[in-house]
Amino acid sequence: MLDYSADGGVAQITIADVRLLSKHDIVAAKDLRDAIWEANDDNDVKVIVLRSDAHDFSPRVTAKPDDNALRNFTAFQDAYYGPHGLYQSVCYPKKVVVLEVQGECAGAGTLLMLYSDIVVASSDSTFRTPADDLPASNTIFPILIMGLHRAKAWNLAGRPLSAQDAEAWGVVNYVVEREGLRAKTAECAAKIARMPLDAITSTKMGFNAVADSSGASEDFALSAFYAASRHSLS
Amino acid sequence: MTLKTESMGRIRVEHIEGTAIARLHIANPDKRNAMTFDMLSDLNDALAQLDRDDSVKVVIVSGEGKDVTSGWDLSEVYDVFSRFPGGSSSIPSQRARIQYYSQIWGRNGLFPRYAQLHKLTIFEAKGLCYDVGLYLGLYSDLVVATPDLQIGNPRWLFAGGEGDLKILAATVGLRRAKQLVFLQNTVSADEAKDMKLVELVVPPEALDDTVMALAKTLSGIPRDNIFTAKNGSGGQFVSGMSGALSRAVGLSNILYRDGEFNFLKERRDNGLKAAMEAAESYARGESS
Amino acid sequence: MSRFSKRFHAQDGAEYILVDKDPAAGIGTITLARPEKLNALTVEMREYLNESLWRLEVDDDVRVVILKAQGRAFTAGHDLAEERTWNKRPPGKKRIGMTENTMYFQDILGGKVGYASSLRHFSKVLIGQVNGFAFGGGFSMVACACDILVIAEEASVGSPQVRFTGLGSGPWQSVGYRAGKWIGSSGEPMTGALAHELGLAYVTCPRTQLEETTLQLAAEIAQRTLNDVLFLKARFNAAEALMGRGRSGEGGGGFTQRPDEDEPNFWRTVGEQGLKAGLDKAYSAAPRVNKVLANSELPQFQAGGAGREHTAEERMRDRPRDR
Repeated sequence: MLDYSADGGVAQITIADVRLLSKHDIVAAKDLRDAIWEANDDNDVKVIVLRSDAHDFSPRVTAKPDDNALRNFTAFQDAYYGPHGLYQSVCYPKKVVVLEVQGECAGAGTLLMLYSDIVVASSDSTFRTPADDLPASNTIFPILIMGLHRAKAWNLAGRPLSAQDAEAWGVVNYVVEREGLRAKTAECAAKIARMPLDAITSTKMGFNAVADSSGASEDFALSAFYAASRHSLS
Repeated sequence: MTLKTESMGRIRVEHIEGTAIARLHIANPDKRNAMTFDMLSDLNDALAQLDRDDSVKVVIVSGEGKDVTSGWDLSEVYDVFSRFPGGSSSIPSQRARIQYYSQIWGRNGLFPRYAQLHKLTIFEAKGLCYDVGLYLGLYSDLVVATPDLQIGNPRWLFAGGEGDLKILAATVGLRRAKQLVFLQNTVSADEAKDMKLVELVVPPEALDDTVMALAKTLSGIPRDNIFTAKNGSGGQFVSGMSGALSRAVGLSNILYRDGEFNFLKERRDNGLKAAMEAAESYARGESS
Repeated sequence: MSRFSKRFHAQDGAEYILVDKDPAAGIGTITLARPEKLNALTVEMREYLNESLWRLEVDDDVRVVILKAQGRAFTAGHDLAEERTWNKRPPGKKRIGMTENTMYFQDILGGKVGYASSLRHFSKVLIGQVNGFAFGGGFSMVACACDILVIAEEASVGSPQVRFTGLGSGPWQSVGYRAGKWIGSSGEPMTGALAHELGLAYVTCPRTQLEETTLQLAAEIAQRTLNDVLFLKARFNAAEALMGRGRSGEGGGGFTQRPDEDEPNFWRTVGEQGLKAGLDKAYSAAPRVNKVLANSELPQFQAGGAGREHTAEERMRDRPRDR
């Protein structure tokens, strides 16, 4: 389900199928979460790269999320939205998380994008709001990344964001042609890894505090309840 | 028309006669306006005086020569702890570090004073604008830049993410802020304008006139309006400033591992000039 | 008991606030209809706006609301000519107290007339169709309170109140802290194009295309179910509250600025000589910055990098997307 390798201060996690995450597959979430924490706890690792070999990083999954996952609230929290869940594991580690993304990015893929630190995208990538499909999506991160009105427009209007607009909005850091995507990501990861380990730890903690001072943690704390209530509304 | 000048060494305050405008001028041109600890103290004093001066409504912050400031004086960093209790030991005490960094980020430190100065501030961002310059710009009411601007902090690469990350993220967005700190470090005027880090870029020959035109317009606003509006503004970034203080102390305790560029060790072993060259070479991607 | 020494009736505002809906499309509209006064909002209009928002909130036919305006302005904000008589001194007192002062903001943001709160915390999607200028309260309390803004290229929006009542603060959570500082400190207006570039406007287009562009956007959003819309808006309203745009973070005032004798006294001049005289004096003491720059042949604050004009490609890119 995923491939893990670490070299030169960079851990690379390749996800076989991001769509499983959009469907709230419990095993897929725990595997990815565990891999991220392994990288986080490895003092030889400074940067964590998340990627997939699929042609489209995260195509939209329009089927409703697995009802059982939502009804089994504890499992849902544990795997996805709670403090030990997948999404907070992407946001809060002490290593820099770099996302490599290509093609269509929706649902869980968009969440991974929002929660990563640095994003390198192919020029044909598009980013769809996760809010329709995944009601527990954190609403603070999009606001901090792209600004209040853009975040609302992107989420409410539902129009996918092109790679070019995403770069202009500060959502994507670098846009390159597909052929150059892996190299550019590797270049960024290597550059970040030149920062001292202690500095990376301390700086990540600083940025996490910035997000939390705007309510990111509170939003996470309530997100599973949001999802449960949304489920009961439909 | 500068008729009233108080010089405190490398920090000068000039009241422009017949106006409600004062200029706060950084002058250490032999070192590209690097900021020393003495200059920091003078700056804090100057800000206290300006805040109390009811005849001043607008303060222009500028630098002598080509650059506004190249950042904290690298010959002094770390050694400056020795001015505080316990700071002279081979490993300076934490309280010495806290007291030093409080001069910059603490309650009566530079940035809280500047952000909440009860005057409108206009910052001239030209040439090198590093480190302390970046933050003076971020906390100013208006910034006027020139095309030769290089703004950011090259020390982020080897010293870590110093500064108020909250206001940085509020200015350029959270992800762009991470790009600056983890990857890019410094940007040009055009890039700065595109990421909304500065709002106005003018040709160098137009800088003085532009700033003065802005200052004159702003000084037509009633004193009560300016004072009230600035009072408590910047309060929203108190958490960012206190984060900067604790992080600065933390970063001064970095344990450098094999292969990581250690500026202080370079300076100790090979002198300042060699250390600065080695830092630049490391930034370019060459091995340390 | 009367407020402001005069009895106000919300229904008197109905002449100037038109409410309509298209049930098939799920779209409601509120139109500011006082074009002869540039849609300046009286107290009755604000009360009626508040009531209209509430009525649309409880109408299950409506999922998206468009706030628009007649004439060449979106709204000039509060009717300043009215303000002078609005904050009446208590009988026998020489000045107004904090309670009277705070009432001004309370009535914008809370209580019976809290129209800005109603806009900000609206439970359905609110699109601002900004045809022309929006200044001061019209900008920050009305336009910026909308979820999504479609702003005509020709429109001019901003916060000029720095000369009258103190620094405005631009919408920095939307445009970035520095751009917000520029907007609030200089009082300079933005064009629709600049508002789009800074991230405040989602779309900008020529005024002739404004109606159609906004309706198309509203129609896309209205395809969602009512429950979807209510849920999404509840999430974002909560997010804004977490970020400090909650109820207690709103409002200011509390005491009146007192210009010194050598400074223009805006409210006194308005009271004695009328609104135009007040504005003239304030602006001659602190001229428009872009005007000052233009007079000096200096570059003006413009969108798109160091003083350059938008290229044709950039203007094409900024056009509303085709579906």
